[in-house]
Amino acid sequence: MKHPHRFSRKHMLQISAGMLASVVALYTIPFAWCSRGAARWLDGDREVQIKLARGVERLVFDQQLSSKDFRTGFDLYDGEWLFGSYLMAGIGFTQVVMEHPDLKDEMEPLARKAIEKLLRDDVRAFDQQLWRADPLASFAGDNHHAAYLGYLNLLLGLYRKTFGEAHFDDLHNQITAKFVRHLSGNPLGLLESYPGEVYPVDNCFVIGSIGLHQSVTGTDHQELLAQLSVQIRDKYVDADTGLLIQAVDPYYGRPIDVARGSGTVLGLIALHYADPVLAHDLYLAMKSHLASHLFRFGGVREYPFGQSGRMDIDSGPIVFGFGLSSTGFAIAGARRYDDRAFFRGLFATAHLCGAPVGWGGRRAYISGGPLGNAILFAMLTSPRVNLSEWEILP
Amino acid sequence: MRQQRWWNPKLGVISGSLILLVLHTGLQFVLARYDIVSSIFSAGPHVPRWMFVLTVLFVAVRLALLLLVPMLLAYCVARRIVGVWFVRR
Repeated sequence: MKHPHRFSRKHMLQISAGMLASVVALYTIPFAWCSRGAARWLDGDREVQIKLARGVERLVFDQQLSSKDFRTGFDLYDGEWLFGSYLMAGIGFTQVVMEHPDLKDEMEPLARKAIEKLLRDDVRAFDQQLWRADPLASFAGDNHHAAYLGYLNLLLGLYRKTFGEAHFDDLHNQITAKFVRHLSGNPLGLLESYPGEVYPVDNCFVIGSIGLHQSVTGTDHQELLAQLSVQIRDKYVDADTGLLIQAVDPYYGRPIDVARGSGTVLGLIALHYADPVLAHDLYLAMKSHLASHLFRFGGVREYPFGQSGRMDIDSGPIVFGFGLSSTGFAIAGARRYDDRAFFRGLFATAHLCGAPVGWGGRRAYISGGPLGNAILFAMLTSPRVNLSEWEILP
Repeated sequence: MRQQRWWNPKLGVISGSLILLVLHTGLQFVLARYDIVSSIFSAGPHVPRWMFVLTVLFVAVRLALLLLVPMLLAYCVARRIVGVWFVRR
């Protein structure tokens, strides 16, 4: 039997209205729900920062993490992820105090604990295995150890600048002196992360840490920093896009990988401490060539529009062209430069995928685990910058 | 009186949405209360299977709740409004 009303005008109108409403709903409701806490993070709300700090403390410190807790399939990456968990947690604890100095007593022991964890034998083992030398015992040697020492030195500088404590001053001075020695007269202007492997993004942390050492101690590295900035702009920033080249060969510094999102957005975070103008230029290039959105949820592509490439440990999963790493790391840049609309979009994406929960005065992203939560903590607390003077805002 | 079937959109979407909402809240509580994600990261492949199942279920329920439910609810409401408008016209 036929259904006389199936294709009636009323029925067609109902379906059309329903479909239109569902598209409008998809475009507005999920985003409004997921982005509703973004303004508090942008404005540096004390409570949300404390809650995430306590959540990260619980995830990173309350259990005895080891590289075996990470299952990337490669020992090197497992070790890097363990290192990254403590590093990002430490950066986050430090940045909270940069914005809220009254939390110094609560955050300083946590930041110090993160650094002490980073100095543990098992945490630096990933670097030691590749170099066949201990990174903390070879300050006078020729090995660069840029992957381990570069990131560590930036945290040491942030700790020293923020807390004014002298616990790690000697180590901070020694690592910086080693970097300055290796980079002075270095034709590439870059150090090796691992033997035969040179990554500009790791060197952004090396260079940023030298800049931070200069601002903390007053030691003059300006000439070297200016020379390194010029080298990065000339050789390691892609001429077409303005993005940072991901990897170069160790002999001539020629690109062996393309310019990518994950390296660019992570690198600019540290580079700010050495050359804030270059860091901002990288951010603007990222906005032009990588930033996009899907139903208003913000994302950052791993490869520029019109290009595609492989997924790897740097990019994380790539979905519809958006890289997990580049999207997460870009939160720091958006907050740093007070890019409110973009921050809101990225925050909504983190909320949707991360599924934050609160319990007992803590907050954590369910799908993040120790590393994901530590990274989001460091990105969401990234210090804001006064663009007219390039200074970190209190 | 004509009986409403369980899959009838007029009943199913509302009740389905409520079920998803309750399920999402419950799973969120369980995952946080028993620290399941941390356990997965700590124990790796040795983690009990029910923890993995709960986590996957949570992700599926969350995506459905945040993306699918608003669309379906809006669809139903719009259809109902147009229907009422036709009757009153």
